[in-house]
Amino acid sequence: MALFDEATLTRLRRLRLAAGRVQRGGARGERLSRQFGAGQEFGAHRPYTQGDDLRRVDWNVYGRLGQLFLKLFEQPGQLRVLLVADDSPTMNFGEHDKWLAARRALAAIGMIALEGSEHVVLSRLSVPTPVNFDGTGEARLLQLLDEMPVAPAPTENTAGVRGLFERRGRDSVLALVSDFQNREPLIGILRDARRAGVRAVAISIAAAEELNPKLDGFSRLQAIAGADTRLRIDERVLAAYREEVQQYRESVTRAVHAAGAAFIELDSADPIEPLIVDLMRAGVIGA
Amino acid sequence: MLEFAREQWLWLFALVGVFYVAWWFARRYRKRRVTYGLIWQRVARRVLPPGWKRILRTILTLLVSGLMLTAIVLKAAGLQKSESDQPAPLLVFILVDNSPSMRALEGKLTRAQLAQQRAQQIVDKLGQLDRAALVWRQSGQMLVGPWLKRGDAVTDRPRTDWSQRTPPTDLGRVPAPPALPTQPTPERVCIELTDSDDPVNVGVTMLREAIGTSLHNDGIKRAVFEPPAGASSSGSLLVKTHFGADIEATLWPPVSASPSLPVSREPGMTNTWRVVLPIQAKPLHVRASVVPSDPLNEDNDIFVQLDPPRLATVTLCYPAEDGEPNDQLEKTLRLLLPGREISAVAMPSATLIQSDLVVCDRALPASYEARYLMCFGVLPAEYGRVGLPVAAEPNMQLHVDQPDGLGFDVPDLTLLYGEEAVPLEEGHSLIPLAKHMQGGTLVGVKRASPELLYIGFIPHLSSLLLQDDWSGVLLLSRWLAAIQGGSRERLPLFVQAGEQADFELARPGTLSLQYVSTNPWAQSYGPRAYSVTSGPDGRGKLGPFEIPGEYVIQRSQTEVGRLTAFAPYDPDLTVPNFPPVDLDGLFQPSGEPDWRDHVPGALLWIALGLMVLEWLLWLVGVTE
Repeated sequence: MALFDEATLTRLRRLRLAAGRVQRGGARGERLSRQFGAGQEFGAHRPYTQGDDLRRVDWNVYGRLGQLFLKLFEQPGQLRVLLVADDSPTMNFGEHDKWLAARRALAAIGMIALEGSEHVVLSRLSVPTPVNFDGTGEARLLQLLDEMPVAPAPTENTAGVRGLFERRGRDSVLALVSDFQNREPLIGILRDARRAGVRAVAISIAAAEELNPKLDGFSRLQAIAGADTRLRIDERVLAAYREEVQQYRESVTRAVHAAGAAFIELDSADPIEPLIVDLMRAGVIGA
Repeated sequence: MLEFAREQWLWLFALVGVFYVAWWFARRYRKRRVTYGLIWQRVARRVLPPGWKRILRTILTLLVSGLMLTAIVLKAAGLQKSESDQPAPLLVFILVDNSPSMRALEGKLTRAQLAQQRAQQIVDKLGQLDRAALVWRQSGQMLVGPWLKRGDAVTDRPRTDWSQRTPPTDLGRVPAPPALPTQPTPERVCIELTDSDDPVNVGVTMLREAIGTSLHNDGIKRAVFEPPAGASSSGSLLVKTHFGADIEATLWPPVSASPSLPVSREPGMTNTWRVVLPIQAKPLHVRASVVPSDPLNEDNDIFVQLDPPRLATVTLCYPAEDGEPNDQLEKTLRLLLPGREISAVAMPSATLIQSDLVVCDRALPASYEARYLMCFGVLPAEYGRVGLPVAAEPNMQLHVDQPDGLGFDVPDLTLLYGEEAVPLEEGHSLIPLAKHMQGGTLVGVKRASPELLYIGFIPHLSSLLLQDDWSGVLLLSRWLAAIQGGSRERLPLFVQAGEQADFELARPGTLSLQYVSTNPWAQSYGPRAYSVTSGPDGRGKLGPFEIPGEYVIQRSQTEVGRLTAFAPYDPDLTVPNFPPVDLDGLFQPSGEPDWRDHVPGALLWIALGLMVLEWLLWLVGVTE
């Protein structure tokens, strides 16, 4: 299933990221090269594709691996957009899949960034190796997100993501999409991002079935991550569940805010537009 | 308890257990894929009862369902017993002694009734495949009743068999009930309920049980009526008993005032009592009874119906100017009517004179109710009128007539002396008995109710009542005897059953005899009603009676007497010392349910109790 239809793609391409300019201060209005490799600071490698400039092929890597990779150099003032997806198994849930919603959110932000010639780094919690995209990588970004699976188990080790903040923190913006059901590692990432000067936006995605479950009778609740629970569900149990979920989500909100990140709550059934609006309100995206 | 307590309903309850267990296993937890696993666990901890409550309820539930299933399995497995466990059916012949001595009363019940109760107990003790049949003697044969199973009512009550020495029957040849299985072969046993120790061989194992206790029996042996010998009674009834038991005599039917009659032991006669019968205007019924009543009470009572003198009260009416009644007349009346109540009333009087006999000495009462009238010199107007007095000379010869059908002979009336006599005028309605030589009726009689005797001689003006002139007193005596003379009917009082007794009626007719069925004893076969027609002379014979006891004798739907038909006297009411048959031992075979058969039911009751306990715990909030 394609992440977006053509009309949505057109609308997204008109948007630009605003957060990076705010981060860079006096760099407002400057547009640097639309391509990596023209700068002085090495940014990342990416596989060679047909049409790339052979002068930017990293022959050392070719000598070691036998494959062609381009050396990408980041230019000063270029915004680095870190797209981090929580690929916990709990994301694969709901009639309107949370994982699909998460990928759409990341794709939207990534497209907007690439359209603004920003440097995009896509990462997920279970895979420490990030994937870099430059201005020409929109199609590959969409394809990668479209094919991105959820991890078979929750990931507690977030060192790979945190490594993205070690350099060039202040010109980076972090978009973390998760359902925040495994809260602690995510809050840790957001705290590290704040310490590294990375502006962070936490997007919480929830499915309607988990906020207001339609369950009754004798049920064996098989948690996607966690132990099973046997319950005879009635309205009293559902009310207790809703109360507990509400408290948990409020605690997540408080923790995210305490970590200095913007927090956006998104229903998995919602279209992408409300997210864009919320990102605009958060100052991450400008029209 | 309630109808629910019956085990059949209890097993319906077991179905609840089946549904309960089915629900238990059908109660599947549907798998639901959820997120927020930790939150669900927290909710579970919050809403689920504590572990001990769940464990308690689980234990109770498992116990309830386990007990129910166990009960069902045990019940189902125990329904069919192995063939080796099947006991041989028992065919019990209950030989009920219905000889005459079984009529003896033991308290309120006869021995026969006690035997019937005991037979019912035996039937109630039968096993499921056992059968019982009543056996009794009748008319020289032994009869076998229908087969009974446990719970059937013993409705047959063998009646008294009066035949002697009935030959026994081989009960081993009596066909077994067709519904019984042929294997194992039914065993036969006979239980005889008897008060006799005479051995009986009926071809099967015999168990004997004594019914009743040894008792003393007495009864009326002879009853004789003696005509009145004295002046103050209607006669006597001499009653002789076998062993000198006391006799009580009462009017019958009982009346409230002084029902008991004087009874005295007759001196010089063994075990004999004299019952003095009172003078009574109406027919007299007397019942003489042995007191206290003894076990065979058919010979304890005798009924006497007499026609005693019909004249009990006499009123003498005299002119008030005399100052007092004629003393000679009063003495004569007392002489001729001994024991009667004689009163005198001066005339005229407005008082209604009510008496059996009204004697009018020259004075008639204004109103009277009497059955007999004796008039001297006066006559009620409806019978005629008296004429003028005529001279009555001494030794005056009268023309005496002897009409047919008068009922007594008119003596030759001779007047020793007299002053005057009052003849009747012509046209009177009396039968002339003596006429004046010159024609007037001086003595007349009317033999219809009320009976009337007219005498034209004035007592104090003639020698009519003087003993020297016996003819006048003799006339009065014969007339009084005639009007009081009873019928010539003679009915027997006491008849030995099986024999006949003579009876005599005043006129030919038919008697009907009906057995008094209210007697608790003497249940026996035989006719209970007879109809006997006398010969042309009014005589006939009653009996023989098959059923001893009391009979009512009726003629034209009216009771005219009672007789007692008594059985040959049986002083021997001793009972042999046979112990009661041990029914528990007799019917103990393994066919009877033992504790193992009650286990399924008990388990169900326990399960029911636990289920109620579980509900109660849930209601009070101990479990959830």
